[in-house]
Amino acid sequence: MTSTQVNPQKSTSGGNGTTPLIRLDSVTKVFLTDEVETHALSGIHLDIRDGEYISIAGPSGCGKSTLLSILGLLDTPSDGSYALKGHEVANLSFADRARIRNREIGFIFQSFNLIGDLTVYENVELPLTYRGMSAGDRKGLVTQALDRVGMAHRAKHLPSQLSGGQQQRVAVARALAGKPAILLADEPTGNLDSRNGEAVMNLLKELHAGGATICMVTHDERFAQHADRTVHLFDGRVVEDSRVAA
Amino acid sequence: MIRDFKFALRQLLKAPAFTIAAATVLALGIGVNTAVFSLVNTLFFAPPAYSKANEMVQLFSQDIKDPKKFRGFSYPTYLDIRDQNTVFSDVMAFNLAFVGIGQKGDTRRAFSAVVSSNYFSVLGVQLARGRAFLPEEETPGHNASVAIVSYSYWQKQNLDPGVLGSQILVNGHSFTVIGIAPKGFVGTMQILSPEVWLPMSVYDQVANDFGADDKTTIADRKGTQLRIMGRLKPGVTPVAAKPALEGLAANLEKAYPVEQKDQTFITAPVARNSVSNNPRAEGGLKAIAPLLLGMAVVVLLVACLNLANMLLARGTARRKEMAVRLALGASRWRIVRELLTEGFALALLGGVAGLILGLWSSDLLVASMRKLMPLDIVWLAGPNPAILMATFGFCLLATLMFALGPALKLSRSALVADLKEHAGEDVVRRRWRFLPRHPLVVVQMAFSLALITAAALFIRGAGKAASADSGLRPGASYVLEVDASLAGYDPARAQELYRNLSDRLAALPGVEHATICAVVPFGMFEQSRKVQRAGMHVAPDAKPATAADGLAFEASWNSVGADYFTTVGLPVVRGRTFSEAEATQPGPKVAIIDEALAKKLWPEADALGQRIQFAPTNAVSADSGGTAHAGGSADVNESSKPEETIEVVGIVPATRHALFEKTPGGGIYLPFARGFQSDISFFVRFHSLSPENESNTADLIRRTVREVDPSLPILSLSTFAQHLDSNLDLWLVRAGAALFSIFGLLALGLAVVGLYGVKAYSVARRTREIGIRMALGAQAGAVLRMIMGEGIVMVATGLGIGLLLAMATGKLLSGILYEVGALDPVAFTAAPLVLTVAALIATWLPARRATQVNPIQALRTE
Ligand SMILES: Nc1ncnc2c1ncn2[C@@H]1O[C@H](COP(=O)(O)OP(=O)(O)O)[C@@H](O)[C@H]1O
Ligand SMILES: [Mg+2]
Repeated sequence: MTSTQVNPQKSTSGGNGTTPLIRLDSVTKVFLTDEVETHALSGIHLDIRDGEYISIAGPSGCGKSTLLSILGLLDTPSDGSYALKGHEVANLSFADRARIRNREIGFIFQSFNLIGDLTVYENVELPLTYRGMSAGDRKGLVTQALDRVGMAHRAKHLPSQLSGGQQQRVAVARALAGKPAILLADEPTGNLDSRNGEAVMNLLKELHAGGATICMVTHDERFAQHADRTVHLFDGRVVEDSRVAA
Repeated sequence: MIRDFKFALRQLLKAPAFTIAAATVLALGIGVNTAVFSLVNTLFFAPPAYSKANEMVQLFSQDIKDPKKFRGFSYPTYLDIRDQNTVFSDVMAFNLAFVGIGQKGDTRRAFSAVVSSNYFSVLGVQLARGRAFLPEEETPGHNASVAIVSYSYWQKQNLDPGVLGSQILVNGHSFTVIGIAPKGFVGTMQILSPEVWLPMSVYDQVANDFGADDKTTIADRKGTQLRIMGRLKPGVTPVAAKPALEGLAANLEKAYPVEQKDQTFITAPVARNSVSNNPRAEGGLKAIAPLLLGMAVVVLLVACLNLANMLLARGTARRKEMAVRLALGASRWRIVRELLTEGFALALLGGVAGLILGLWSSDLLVASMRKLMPLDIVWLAGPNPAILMATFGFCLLATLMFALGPALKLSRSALVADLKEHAGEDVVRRRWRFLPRHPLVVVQMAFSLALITAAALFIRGAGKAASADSGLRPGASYVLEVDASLAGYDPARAQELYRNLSDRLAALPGVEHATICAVVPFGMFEQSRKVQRAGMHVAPDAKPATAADGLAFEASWNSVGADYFTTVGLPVVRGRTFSEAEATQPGPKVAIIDEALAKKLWPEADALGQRIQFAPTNAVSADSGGTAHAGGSADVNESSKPEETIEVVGIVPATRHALFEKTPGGGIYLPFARGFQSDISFFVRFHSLSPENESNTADLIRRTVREVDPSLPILSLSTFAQHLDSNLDLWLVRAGAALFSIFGLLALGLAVVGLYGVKAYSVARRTREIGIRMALGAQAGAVLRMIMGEGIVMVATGLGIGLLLAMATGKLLSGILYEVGALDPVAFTAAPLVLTVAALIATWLPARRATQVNPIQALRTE
């Protein structure tokens, strides 16, 4: 039951039409545990264009997180190619991947994953620090990101002093701060009640409207609606790639 | 309480790895303390092996005019004191004598005690076998050939009952064994024991003939051979006894105005590790006891801090258990009690292991000393009540040090278990984030730096001591020690024998020179005498201030053969060496002095050709620096009298005579014929000695001695290098270095393992955080820097505090260091360097593991 709707390209940013931001070609991921091979991803083809808002859906264990890890350069595909901004990144060294991850990828996790020891400000600042940016430059970007998510007034707080929704907004700010090419969010509302979840989703929607490229895993049909394209995974394969007309 | 204990044991059994690790750490800490305690206790505190030691005092004969001067007693004086005093229930007299025990040609050195017949009864000691001496066996002239042997002598004969009644050869004279001392009895000292006790009547036969020139017999009232100890009457305190003893001394002075001139009697507690005429002889040694104990306690402290850290880490994992128990209504006090009980069970476990470890290592230490000492060291291995009590005390102390803090902390934090946090995650909200994490580890590092610096100071000292320049250049020389009196020679025949032997040794193939000498520098014994300008008749009350006024100087004394200076490589600076005739036949009185003594006696003029004389022992003399005598030997030359004057015929460079003599204090050499002594050594200098034929050479020398007289006992034979190396002072310095190295290494090991532990543990707990950082683009280098950086802050803080502690420790030790400054730059560089390198490795390993964290796995906890 593969149905592919091909809709006219909607370009929200000035990305050129020929080179997608991300191109996965025949990407497979095989995990080897205790002599058992798990084919988490099999032959994935996926193009993500600049400014797109993609939602990835599918049952638990179908490979959504694995796909996001590969997109985020946390993991490498077992086979296939991955081009980011036209450059092949599938087989880069650990250090190169860390560098690209730092510049091009913004992660938002289900469980926020703020560092409890650091203040809100320091958490948001962290990826910029790893970029080797000067404190002055960092300050501008951090403030901007915190303003963007409405958490500037909590800059000096520790994560444990915030509610879940606030923590996730800080996490979004952290993902944003370095102006990455793409935001990757793995079930960002999974740990939130529906009101806070909605707030975070609205935030993502605003970011998208502002030009951000977002790739998000979600179970929630309501939130999947926010995206302008939904990729359905099943058993490690793309079974549906549907675009909704804006 | 018992239920608590059972519960505690169950908890410990549930975590065997933790329990073993913790017990090991404790065993090290407690073991060191048990070992040091058993040594210090035996040496300084344990009750002596004779009865009611608190009643026993030693009596000293003090010079009223010069209260720093003490001397021994003559036998007649002893009898007077025994019979006329009103304060002692009984009084005994004795002296130690260095003798040769054994068959002809197979003699070994041993200490004997020559004692009054009531010696054992005054000490309240029952012999294991046989009988004590009879009063008539004491009487001078009686020559009662009877002996009482030590228990360990009996043990060496496999406790053969036939030992009683058998013959024992002492200095070539045969004695019948009439008694065996009880096990553990060591005489009046603590672990140094005579092997044989002889009756007073044989004193002149066996006593040392040091300074044969002015020997007095035991019956002579002028003698000063004896030490006196008495048992105070019940109820009589030393203070109460004072007037009576002073009165007695005054009476004796009236009766014997010459012999007892200016002598008064005072008492002092019986010295535990020496036998001396001087009641203040033991101060230095005793000062080391608290130092040793203190250092050992610091090791225990470091071990406990280490353990406290382990408990805190373990406690974090047990927080849930605590919270549940508190929720179920357990009081905080109950939880603290349970945790303390658990700690105490752990401490007992470590204590048992530590006891075994400690006893074993103190035995080892004593064994290493035994090899060097010609004395019987009686060391009762195995636990005794005091050691058991002390070890138990260390367990209690340890429990408080390592368990109380964590127990209080855990029982408190359990109350506020924070549900918002990820289970088991280490969320530290530290207000002062610039302070190092894990202050306990920092403190451990600081203490261990202090200890390894102390070790480094001692090692430096040992190095300096081992390479200390004797000032002699004897090349490839053997030192052969013999004593003809042990083979029954009288002085005249011994003289002849030595000349013969000297010629034979000099004629051996490969031998350059051979020479006789009474004293080998850096050996077990030194002899010194007071020397002043000739013709001085200093009035008894005069206080001469200069050599010209008759001030006498303490000088190391030796009597040597004609070839001595050539053999040992001492060039004669001015004048000449002794002639062969001077060395072998008593002729005109001549002496060679060293430059140090020459300078003292004639600061402005040339000492060569001048005349000098030996000053009476009670003459006023300049205090000479550092004289340490090994063991509790008989004092030398107690009653040298002024004699004819001696001409200075030569001047040689000043050399040190003992390791602890910092600068040469002056020396005088007499020709051997003028300073005869039966216990002598030969320097046999070879052209060269290769290690391969060393044993051949030694055999050659042995054979030569046997050819000259098969009955002549060889008391020792070694190369000069070996002689220097087996120096007792050097052993002391080395033992110090070994002890402090053990302390230091243990503390360092514990601190570094502790550091590794907290770092590894924190990396494990922070896996998730590290994963997040990596997901955000942290390079491996950044992660490594982060973990290392935190470690380095700890190390740096530890180093800073530790350096201060180390300086304080250095100051504390400066009194017992061998030629090393309290702030020795080498030690103060090496020790921090060792600590830093070890600490960096200990942080680098976990930091490297942190860089290998897989971010996906770290983050997959949802
Ligand atoms: N590190 C791994 N080792 C082995 N199997 C894994 C690993 N990571 C994921 N998998 C397997 O790959 C499949 C896809 O997992 P995942 O991408 O986490 O699914 P989803 O996020 O869609 O629930 C699952 O069967 C999972 O068990
Ligand atoms: Mg998933």
